[in-house]
Amino acid sequence: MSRPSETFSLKGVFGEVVKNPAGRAGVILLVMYIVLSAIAPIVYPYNMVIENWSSSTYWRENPRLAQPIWVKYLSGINLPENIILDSRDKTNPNVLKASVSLETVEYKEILIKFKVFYDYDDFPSEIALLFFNKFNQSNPYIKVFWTRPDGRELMIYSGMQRFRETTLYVSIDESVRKALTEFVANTTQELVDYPSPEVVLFAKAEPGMWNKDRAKILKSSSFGKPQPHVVSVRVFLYEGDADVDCRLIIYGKVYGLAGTDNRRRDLTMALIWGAPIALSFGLLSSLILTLIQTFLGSVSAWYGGVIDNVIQRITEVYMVVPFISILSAIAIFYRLTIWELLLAVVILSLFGSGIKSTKVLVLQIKEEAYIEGAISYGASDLRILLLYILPRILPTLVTSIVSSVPGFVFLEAGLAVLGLGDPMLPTWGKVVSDAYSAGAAYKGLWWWAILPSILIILLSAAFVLLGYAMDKIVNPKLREL
Amino acid sequence: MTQTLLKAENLCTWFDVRRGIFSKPIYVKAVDNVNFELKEEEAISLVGESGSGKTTLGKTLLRLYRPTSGRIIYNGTDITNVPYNRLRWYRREAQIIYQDPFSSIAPFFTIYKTLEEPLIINKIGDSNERSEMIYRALEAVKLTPVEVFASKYPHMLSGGQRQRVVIARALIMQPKYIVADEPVTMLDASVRVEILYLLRELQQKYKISFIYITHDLATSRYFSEKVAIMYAGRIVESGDVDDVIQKPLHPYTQALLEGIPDPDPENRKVLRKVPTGEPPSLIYPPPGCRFHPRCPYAMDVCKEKVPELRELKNGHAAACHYAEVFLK
Amino acid sequence: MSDKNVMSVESLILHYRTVRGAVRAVDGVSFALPKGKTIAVVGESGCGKTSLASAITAILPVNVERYEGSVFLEDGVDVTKMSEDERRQKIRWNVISTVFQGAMNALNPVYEVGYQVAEPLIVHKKMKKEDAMDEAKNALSLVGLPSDFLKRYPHQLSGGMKQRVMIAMALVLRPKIVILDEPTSALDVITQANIMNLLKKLKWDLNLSYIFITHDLALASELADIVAVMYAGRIVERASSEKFFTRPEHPYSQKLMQSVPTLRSKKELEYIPGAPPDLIYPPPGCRFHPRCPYAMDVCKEKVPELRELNPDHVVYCWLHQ
Repeated sequence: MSRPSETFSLKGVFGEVVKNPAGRAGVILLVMYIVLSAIAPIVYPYNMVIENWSSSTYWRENPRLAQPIWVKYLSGINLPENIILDSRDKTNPNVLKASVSLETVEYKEILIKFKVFYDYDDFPSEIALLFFNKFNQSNPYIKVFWTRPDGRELMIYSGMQRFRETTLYVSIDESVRKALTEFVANTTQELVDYPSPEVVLFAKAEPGMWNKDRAKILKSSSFGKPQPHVVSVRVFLYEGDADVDCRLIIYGKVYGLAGTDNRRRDLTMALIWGAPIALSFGLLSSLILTLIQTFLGSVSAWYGGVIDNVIQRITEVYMVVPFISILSAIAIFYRLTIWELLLAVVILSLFGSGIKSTKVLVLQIKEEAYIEGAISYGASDLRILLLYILPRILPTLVTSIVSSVPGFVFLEAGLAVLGLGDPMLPTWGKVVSDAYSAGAAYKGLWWWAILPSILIILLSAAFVLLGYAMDKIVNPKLREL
Repeated sequence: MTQTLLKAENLCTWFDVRRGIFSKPIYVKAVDNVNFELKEEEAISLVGESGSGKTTLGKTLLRLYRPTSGRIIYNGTDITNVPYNRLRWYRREAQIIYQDPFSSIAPFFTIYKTLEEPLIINKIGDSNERSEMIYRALEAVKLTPVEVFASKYPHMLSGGQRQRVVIARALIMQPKYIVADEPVTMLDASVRVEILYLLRELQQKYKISFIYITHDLATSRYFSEKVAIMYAGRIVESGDVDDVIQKPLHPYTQALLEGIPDPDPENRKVLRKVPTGEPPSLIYPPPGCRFHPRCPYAMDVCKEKVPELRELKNGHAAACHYAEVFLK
Repeated sequence: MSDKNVMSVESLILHYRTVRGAVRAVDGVSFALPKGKTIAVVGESGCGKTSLASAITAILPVNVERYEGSVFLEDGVDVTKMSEDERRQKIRWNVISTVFQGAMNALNPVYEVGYQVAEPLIVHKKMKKEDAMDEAKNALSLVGLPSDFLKRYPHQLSGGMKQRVMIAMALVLRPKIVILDEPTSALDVITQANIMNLLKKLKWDLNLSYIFITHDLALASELADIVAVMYAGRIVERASSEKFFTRPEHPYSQKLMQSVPTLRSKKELEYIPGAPPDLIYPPPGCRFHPRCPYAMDVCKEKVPELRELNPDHVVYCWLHQ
C-alpha cells in the first residue's frame, strides 16, 4: 500500500497549477488584473478620482457619450476627435490673437482667429466657445464669425459678456440657431426650424445640409489647397486693461480607451479603478469569510458536543435566511460605502456552508492515527488544530478562497446595478448601473455597458479557472480525470 | 523481583453508542472487568482477535480513553479519573506505537519535526539538546545516516522505515513503558522480523516495559516472556508464553493454537479442528462465559456464571470453570 | 500442454503505465496447474502477485502498457488472445472465477445476498430468476450458509459470512479454476481456519483447481500442492509442497521461510535486510541480488535461467547453474 506524494506545500500546488492549461489561463488573466490594479493609482491618483468622479465641471471638455477611440480603426470610419484651440496658446500656428486697432485707454479691439482643418468622416457632436473675460465694469462685446472652407461666412453670435467666464454653447444657443436658420435659408432655400449647428457648419452646401443623415461633410482637404474653417472672434473692449481670451471646443465622437458616459466622464478611469476595487472586495470578503468559517468548522469538528450543536444550528439558520434580501433592505435605508458593504456582506454570510464542509474534512482528519499520537505525547488542542490539522486543510482552504472570489465580485457589481452600492466610487457595477439607467442598451451605447461587463466576467473567469485547476490538484480523486 | 509498574483492577471501558440524545444508552463493552499487571522492565504480549478489546485495553491503560469503572494504578498513583489536562506528566511516562505506519506520522512534517514535537510540547531541553536527542533516537532505531533521514518526509520512506520513526518517537521521551499496537501487522513479512527484533533489542537495552498487542500468537513468543489472551473484552488466559502455548488451559486458546498453521505440506490433507461461529457482539454478549456458544466443552454452569481469571500453577492463569481438567 | 493440466501460463507479461514510468508488475511468469491441484503464488506486497490475477483473467486496467504471453486452458484456447466478448461469455466465471482480496467490501449493500449470488447465472447463462435463485441456494449451502441467507443484506452478515458468500458467488457457475487472492485477509484466526477448511472441502468434493495468491507462507501450506515464489514480477522458485517446505533452494525462499514465526518449533527468526525493489526500475540481472547473501557478479548482470533440480522443483538462480 502506498500513497502518492501529496502536494502539501503551496509552492508545489502553484507549480502544478501552472502546468494545467486552465490554471495557466487563470494565472495570466489574474496577473493582468493585478497589473491593472497597480497601474490605477499611478495613472489616476486616488484623491483625484474621489474628488472628480462625481463632479460635473471636471469633465466639461470631454465629448458626451463618445465611443472608444479604437472604434475608428475597427470601423474604418474616421470619427472625429476633440479639437480644442485656446487663444492663450502662443505656440499653435492655428491660433491667432492680435489687436487690430489702436489701443487707447478706453477702447481696444482684439481679433482672435482659430483655424480648424477638418477632415473627419463624421460631424462633431457639439461645439462650444468658452470666454475668459477680464474687465472691471465695462462689459466686453464680442462678435463671432464662422468662415467655412468653401468660403461661406456667417456671423453666428454677437453679445455682451457679463461674467468672468461665459460659455457659448454653439450647439444649442438660441441666437446661433437663428443665425443658422437664416444661413440655411440663404444657402439652399430650405426652411428649417432647428438646424444643428455642428451639422450645418460642417456640411456641404447642398439641399439637406441641415439633416445629419443626408448632409455630407465639407472636408478641408477637398480643395486643392486644404482650406480650414476659420472661427473669428472680434472682441470690443472698453477698458485699457481689459482682456478676453477664448477657447474653442469642437467635441468629437470618440474619446479615450473606453469612451465616455452621459456625464462626459472618461470611462477608462472607472474601468481601471474597478480592478483594484473588485479585486480587493472579492479577495477580502472571500478571505475573511473563509478563514472565519474554517475556524468555526474546525472548532465544531474538534470539540463536538454542545459547541458543535450550537455552531451547526446557527449555520443552518443562516443557510436558510435569504441574505441578499436583507442586504438590499439595509442598503435602501442606509447609503453604504464600499467598506460598510463589505462588513455587511461578511456578517450576513458568516455562518455559511463552508462551516459544514470544513467540519466534514476535519472530522476525517481527526480520526487519523497521528492525531491521537499527538494527544498521546501531550499536545494541546490548539496546537493540534493549528499544526496538525490546519496544514492538511490548507490546500482545500486556498482553493476555496480562490473559488469564492467571483461570487463576491458579482455580488458587488449586482448590488451596484441595483443601485445599492457605493455611490461615490467608480466601480464596474456602478458603470453598468449608470448605463442601464440611461437606457444604454436601447440607444446603442454599447461600450458603456459591455466593456465593464467584460471586465467583470473575465475577472471571475480568472478565479474560476484558477480554482478549477487547484481543485483538480488538491482533490486527489479528481486527479485521474 | 521487580516492582509493579502498572496495575488495572476490574477495569471496564464501555462506549455509549446510542443514537439521539434522548434514548437510553447502549454500551459496547469493549473492555469488561479486566485485571492486569505490568512490572518494570517486563514485556507482555496481549493477544486477541479484532474486537477482543486488546487495543481498547492498551489505550485505556494509557488514559487515551477514560475508564468507565475500575481502577488504574501507575507507580502507586491512581490515575483512573484524573482529567486529561492534568495527565501531562503521565504522557511522558507512557508512550504508544501505532499499527499503521502511513497515518501515524504527520505527512507534512519532516522526520526531524516529527521527533521534535513531543520534546517541544513537554518542554524538554533547548534546541541543541533536542537535536542531540533526535539524532540519538534515529541511531537507536538504525535509521542512518541520521542527518539524511532527519530531513526527509514520510512519503519518501518505506513502511518499515516509517515504523522505525514511530518507534523513535516513542523512545525519545524515555518512557517507562510503551504500548505497541500491532506494530508489525501492516509490514511485509521480510520486514516484520527486523522490526520485531529491533523492538526486543530496545526493550532490553533501555529497560522499558512493553505491552505488545497483536493477533498473531506466533510472534508473541519472539517478543515477550509473558502473554495474556483476550476474548470479547476479557482476559481469558495469561502466563508464560511457552506454558500457554504448550499447555493451553482455556478452550479459546486451544482453538487459537489449533487454527494457526505452521508451514507444513501435510496441512493441506487435513481439516483443522476449530470451533465454528464468530466472536460475539460486545453490546449484547452471551451471559456467563462469553465463549460458551462456541466452546466444545460448554456446560450449564458456563452459561450462567462468569468464570474468574484464576491462577492454576505458577503464573499460569485461566478464566474457565474447567481449567483444571486441561492441566492434566 | 499435457492432458493433466487445466491451465498453463507461459511467459506472461503485464506492465502498467504510470506518471513515473512503466511498472513491470508481471515480468515473464510461467507455471502449469494440474487438474484438481492448487498452486500457491507466494510473495510480499509489491511483488506483482495481484497483478498476476488480473493478467491471467485478462482484466486489464486502462493504463496497460504491455500485455504478452499466453494463458492456455484445457482445450488449447489462449485467454490472452481471445476477444473481450468471448472472454466474458465463455471464460470468466464459467471456467475461471476469482475471489478477490477485501472481497467483503465487494458486495453491493442495496441488494439481497441471494440475488447477488444468482446474478452471474442470470447474466451469463440467461437463466430465469427462479431457477437462478435455486442455484444460488445450492451454492450457499455449499459454503455452509442456510437458505434464509438468500434474503439477507450484506450489512447483516459478519466478515466470515460475507467471505463465504463471495466464495459461493465464485462457484455458482461451477468453474474449473478459482483464483483466490488473499481470501482471508482481515479475518480473525478462527474464522480464517474455518474458511480454509471450507476451501479444502470444496477442492476435494468438486475437484477444483486453485490458484492461491498470498503473502503468508504458512497459510499457503494449507492448500498448496505446488508453491511458486514470486519476487519483483518474476517467479524465482517453483516446487511441489513437499520439496519446497522441506528444502527451499532459492535464497529468497530460504529467507522467507526463516522469517515466518512458528508456533510449534522454536527457531530463531531471520530477516531480509533492505526492501523489495521498485518495479519501475528493477535491479539488472537477478532482481534479488541487492539483498542476496550469496550474490555473485553474474547475478548483477544476467537474468538467471530456469534450472530444473527435479521434475517438480525448478529454481531461477545462478547458484544452481
